[in-house]
Amino acid sequence: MPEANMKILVVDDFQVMRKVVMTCLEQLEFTNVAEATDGLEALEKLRAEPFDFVITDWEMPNLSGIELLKAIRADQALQRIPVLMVTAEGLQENIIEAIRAGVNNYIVKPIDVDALREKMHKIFDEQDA
Amino acid sequence: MPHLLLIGAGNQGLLHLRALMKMQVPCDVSVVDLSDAALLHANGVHKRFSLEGQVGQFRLFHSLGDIDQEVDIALVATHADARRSVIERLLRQTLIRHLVLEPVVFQAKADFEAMLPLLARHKVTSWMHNPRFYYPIYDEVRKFFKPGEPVEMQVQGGEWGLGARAIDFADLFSRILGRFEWVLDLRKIGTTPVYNYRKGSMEFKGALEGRQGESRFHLLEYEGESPLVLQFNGQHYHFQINEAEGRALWGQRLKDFAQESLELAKPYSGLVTERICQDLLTTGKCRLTALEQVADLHAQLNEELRQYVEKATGKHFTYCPIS
Repeated sequence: MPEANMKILVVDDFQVMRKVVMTCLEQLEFTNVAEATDGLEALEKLRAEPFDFVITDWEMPNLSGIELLKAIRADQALQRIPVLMVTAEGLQENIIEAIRAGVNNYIVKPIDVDALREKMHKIFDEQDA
Repeated sequence: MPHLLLIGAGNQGLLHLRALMKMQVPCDVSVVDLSDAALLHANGVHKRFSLEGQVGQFRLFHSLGDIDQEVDIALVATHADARRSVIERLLRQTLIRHLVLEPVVFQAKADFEAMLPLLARHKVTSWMHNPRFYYPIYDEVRKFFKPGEPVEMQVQGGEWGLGARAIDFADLFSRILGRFEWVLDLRKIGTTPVYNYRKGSMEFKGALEGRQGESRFHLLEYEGESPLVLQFNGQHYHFQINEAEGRALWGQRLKDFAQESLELAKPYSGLVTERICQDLLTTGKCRLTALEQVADLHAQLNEELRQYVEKATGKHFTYCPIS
């Protein structure tokens, strides 16, 4: 089960989407949340301080979500961090590519609290198993 | 080297040309216009901005008859009433790969019916120009609404061209909802149509509405000048976009739709052309709507406006007099 005090990094280039994800997390009583505006900034933050969970958009400038995921999985210090990928509706090929790259789960926009809760529980239940 | 052709060097055409001067993909550019003054302006744009991009040969023509055998992208920015004959003439002598058409694309339903099969026979991929598909905000807004969710969309402002620009917004809303079928309602275009600045063209004030299942759109044009504001209201998210001011307000149900402000990144609309051409040259696709996808909606809108004009003026029209 995800712990309420775990540190979560929300990565999206669109400010509104970051706020939406953070509002959902707030509803789920996760308050230790940081944000990054693209994959590059996310990678810097992940290397600078410990995080327990990453929620990342797919389409971003500089370093995309899939590139961030691949960088996380290739980094020994970061590779065990669970990653939830956020994708736009209908991008099946993205999902397949993300699964191959080691994503823990994905969620399709628009995001809502119930779907986020379900995906997070699934990820952490699998980790606990 | 790719060859880009601009047909029509009026106001809109010159904006396209300004954008083409920034092309980073090396290409040749030709401009066709009957008017000496328009070609002179086009030459001025080339002289002033040609160092910004990778344009090679730049040529000006009075007649389509002088154009090379092959054109990679033709941008058509003529008056809508000349559109069909211009394209027919071009197709007779020139191999064209992509055609980008300014709306109003055609004025009569018969033109759509004749031109779509003709373009298909010539294997031309055709797109309706709509710069909003290159504004990041609209691509993001689309992702906040679930398929099938009722969404209410509204455009309001003064002097924005309800008749000529209705198709731009109907196209945008259709792409947001993923469907192009609308029941249109023109009953609230309350005032008599007036001839606008383009010779023989008409414009309107009032409201034009559309319905698609439980989703609605309202296009409102007021008397006098006021900025264009777009609103999107879904079950969980609300957006209000003021393009001129470059800002938006948004709210989410989880926060009781309390409004928060948002700065917008908006490319200068004319410069979108550069990105459209680069997308077409490098991938064969672009973010615009394919003409065949929007044609039925465009023809339907034209036909309903034509009938409205006939009723309001008591005169017979074989085409929709908007441009």
